[in-house]
Amino acid sequence: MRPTIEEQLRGVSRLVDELAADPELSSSSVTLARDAGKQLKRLTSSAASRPPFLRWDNAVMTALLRDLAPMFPAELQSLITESSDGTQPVTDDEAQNEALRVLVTMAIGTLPDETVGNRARRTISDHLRERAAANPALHKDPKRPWAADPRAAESETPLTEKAPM
Amino acid sequence: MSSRTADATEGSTQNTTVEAIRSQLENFIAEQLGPDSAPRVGAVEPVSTGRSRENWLFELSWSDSTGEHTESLIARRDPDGGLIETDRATEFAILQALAGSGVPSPPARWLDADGAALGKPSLVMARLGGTCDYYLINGERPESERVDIAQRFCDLLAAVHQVDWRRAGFEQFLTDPGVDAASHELRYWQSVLERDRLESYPELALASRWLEQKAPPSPRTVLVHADFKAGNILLDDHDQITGLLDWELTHLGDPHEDLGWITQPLRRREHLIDDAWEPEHLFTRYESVTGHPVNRESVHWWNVFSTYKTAVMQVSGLRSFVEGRSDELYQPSAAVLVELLDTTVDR
Repeated sequence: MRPTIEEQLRGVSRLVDELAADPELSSSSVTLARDAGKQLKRLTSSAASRPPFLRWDNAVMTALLRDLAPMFPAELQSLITESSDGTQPVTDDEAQNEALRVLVTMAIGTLPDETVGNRARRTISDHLRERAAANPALHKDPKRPWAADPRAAESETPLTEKAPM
Repeated sequence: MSSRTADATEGSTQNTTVEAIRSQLENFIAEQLGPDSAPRVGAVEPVSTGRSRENWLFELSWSDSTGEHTESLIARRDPDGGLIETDRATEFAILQALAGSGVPSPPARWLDADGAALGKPSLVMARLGGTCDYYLINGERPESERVDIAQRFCDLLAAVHQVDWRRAGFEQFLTDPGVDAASHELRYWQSVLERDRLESYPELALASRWLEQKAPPSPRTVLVHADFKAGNILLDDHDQITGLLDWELTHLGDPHEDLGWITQPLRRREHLIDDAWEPEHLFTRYESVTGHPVNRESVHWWNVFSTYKTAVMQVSGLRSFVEGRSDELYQPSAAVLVELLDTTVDR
């Protein structure tokens, strides 16, 4: 559906740039307009990557929690099973991402200190490191591990959701 | 509305704000000096130094039995939101207690602790001469000059740590955490994270666990500046240090905390010079000036803590932005998260 969200964001970004260039604007307003312009550009460049990023992150976290689950207390294991047994359809990648990050945080708090715990922490840390490099909200040109990951092999498509008028 | 009309309205709003602050300051200072002082506040100028407070520069004129006086002052007001939330009353007490300590700090004049007079909690202090430059240590000057300045910054930090805080009465408003200074500071920033986070951060949970397990004992209690950097140090035209600013995070604690803040890898460009002023140069000079050894392992813990603290500040900044209390969008950056993950998970 046109205009896509990206097209709309680019349009608003252009308007904000025009505003920031107005020579009669006060210096504090120019600063505000420039900051808004930067944020819009970041949002525009990251909008298309966000859904596949979230699906990839969710898939990796789900697999990671399932693999490590035997190390966790029974209550946490139940929560992990509930989140990944497929009985609840995933309709909101953002909400699922938040829920999975809560579970990973809880899991970190239960890991033992010794070798087996260290190994699990390394596994979690390796993914979080990769996540930081791939997060489109944090980079102009983030890595795209989902492009090569069969668990999240959904293509990156332009957003076509209609914006509220 | 045409853009021209919008500009005029915006400019008018800004002028109204500035005039309101000028008028509030004049009334507030009249209350402090007494009705016969007839204080006059000149043009008030907002400055954007620092990210945590609103700063307003102004000239004050007043009279008393000894005659007419003028002074350059700065009013620091709490913003609606930002990276950190601190207490103006404590900052005011710190500045008062520093007077006569030998550490160049802005003389504190008046405090509006609850914001009854100035709209938000505020303090007024004297303006010191000189300018700040965040990246002075790695600026355009010849290396020998930059090393000389870095050495004098080190001596300034040593002077802060040598303040006789017991004698100066700092215990009346700051707590001595004793040997547990590291755990004490960590618990404080963990509580800020719990208060301000909008979501879970497993990256910070990993770091938190590492920091809890490896917190070093403090060898002695000193006055910790807690944001020691070139951007908070004023230099005059002859490169003499005229002031150390931003005492809002200052507390009693472990001297390694400031050394860890200065040598944290992510702020290297602000504090260190490749080969010529590395952490070892700083530690050796600090040891020679203070007579106290620097424990390199403790400094490493405080390096990691400094990165954790930066991440928590970014989390607070994100909440402020989302709640409409600040204009700048902060969030834990990739560099900060990766640095934490690289240093807090045993490989």
